[in-house]
Formats: sequence, structure tokens, C-alpha cells
Amino acid sequence: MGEERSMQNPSDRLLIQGLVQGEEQAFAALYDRLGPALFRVARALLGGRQDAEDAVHEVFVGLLRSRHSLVGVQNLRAYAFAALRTSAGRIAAARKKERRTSADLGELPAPEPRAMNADQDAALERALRSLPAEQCELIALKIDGELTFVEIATCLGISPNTAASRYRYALEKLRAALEG
Amino acid sequence: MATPDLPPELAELERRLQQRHKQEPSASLRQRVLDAGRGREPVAAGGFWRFAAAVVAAALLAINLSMSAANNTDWRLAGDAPRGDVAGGSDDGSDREARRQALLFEARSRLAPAGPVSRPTSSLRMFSDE
Repeated sequence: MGEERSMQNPSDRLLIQGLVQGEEQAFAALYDRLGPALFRVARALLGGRQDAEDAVHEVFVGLLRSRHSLVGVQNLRAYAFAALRTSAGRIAAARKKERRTSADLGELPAPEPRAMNADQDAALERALRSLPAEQCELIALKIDGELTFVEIATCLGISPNTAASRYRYALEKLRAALEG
Repeated sequence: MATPDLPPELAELERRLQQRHKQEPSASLRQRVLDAGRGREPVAAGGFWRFAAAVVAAALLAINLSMSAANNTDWRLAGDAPRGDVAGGSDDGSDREARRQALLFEARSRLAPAGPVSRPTSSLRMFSDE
């Protein structure tokens, strides 16, 4: 797959150096580069905006704390998304526990009202939510996170080829859900 | 970025996914994250002094507890052993002398761990002044 970025990006290296030296600008640049994409994937994984923002916040605090160990990280983007999966998993587990103990045995938070200018978008969102969590996650990592298959593979601990074939399968399921 | 090798219908679906409305995080999240970044540095800079203060506090507490334990420890020999030993070893063997020797033993044992010396000393003086 020609699009893949497997080597450490030179700008990643600069960012990491800045982070290790405690430069605030480097931290802000890291947020600007990864924050929005992390948020979109977190939203796909968790549903609620607040939970998604909490997960992203946790990721950046974690990156800052472990900044000295980032020097050895090959792909900062994949590393951050892997951290996001961990944070999102923790938050999802906490929410599940809360729902179990509270009266509102509930569904995922409903998508916030927003200006969807086409019914197509709404149908697409519904179809995405009907997919199994793993497939939904894969599509979110590829489309919303804009990760390459190599990065997705690093995140999920699978091979890039497996990531690509699972993605294709998830798209087929999504298409079937849209048609069905 | 389009994925190569996808059949046309899946490529079209991917394009639709990429073009759908993208949700953005709130502006407050950026501020929150950057605040967390700023807030961490002073903690790191003051880390040594916090650690030093914690060590000093722990050392003071340990000293205090060990002194308290030492002062509350009964250092006397078990039972009536001092009195018996003294009575056996005294020259005249009188009760009064045995009692005096026992008090001396007691005083000596209390002096050993740097405990208060006022009580045994006054007791001794009381007997020696007679």
C-alpha cells in the first residue's frame, strides 16, 4: 500500500524533541495536529461529546507525562490513537458500570443535534452504529482518524494486510446495512 | 485519502464517509489540554522540594515515635529479681538496705535509655538524707 507512512515522520521527531524539552508550543502543535482527529474517533467509539473530550484530554495528559519515553516511538500518530483506545475503553467501562447501577439502563448518548445537511449523512450514521464495535472502530480509525493501514495495524496489534482486509469487510457490511 | 484496490461501489461509499459532516472538538478542549500542559511543569519543578519535605516529615515522625516508644518502655528487670539480687549481695542484709539497693537498681535502669532522671534521683536523695 503506497500511501503508508511507516517511518518516523521528521516533523514527529521535532515535535517529540520539543515535548521532551518541555516546550509549550510543541504541545500545542501536537494538539492541533492530532486533537481533532482523536476527538472524532473518540466520538465514534464513545458516542457522547463529553466522554470523547475526556478521552482526548486523558491522551494528551498521558503523552505529556510519558514524553521522555516518546523518543523511541516510531509513529507518534499511531501511538496517540493506541492511547486513545485505552482511554476510551476505560471510560466506556466506567459508563457501563454507571448505567448498570443507575435507573436509566441506557443506550449510548444520542448524537447531538447538528446541521446534517443531507438525509444521506443521517442514514450513514445510523448504518455505522448498527455495525459491530470492531468494524465501527476500524472505519473510524481510517476515515475519522485518517490513519494508514500500517498505523491502524500498530494500533490494533494486527498486520497491515489484516487491517486492510477487515476494513474492506467493514465497508461491505456498511453498504449492506445501508441497502438493507 | 482514497484506499487503492477497492471496488468502485466501496470506493464510492468511502468517499461518502470522508465527505460527511465532520465533528469538531469544542474550543474549550484545546484550552483544557493546554492548561493541563502548563499546570504540569511547576509540579515537576517543585517535585524535589515536595519529596524533600515528605522525607523530612517522615524522619521527624519516625524519631518522635521511636522516642515515645523508648520512654514508655519498662526497662526494669522482670519480677523482684533486683531486690532478691541485692538482698543476697548486700553486706548487712537488712530490709532497709535491700530496699535502698533495689531503688538504686531501678534508678540505674531508668537512666540507661536517657529517660527522665528526676524521680529516681529524688528517691535516692530522700533516702540518703535520712
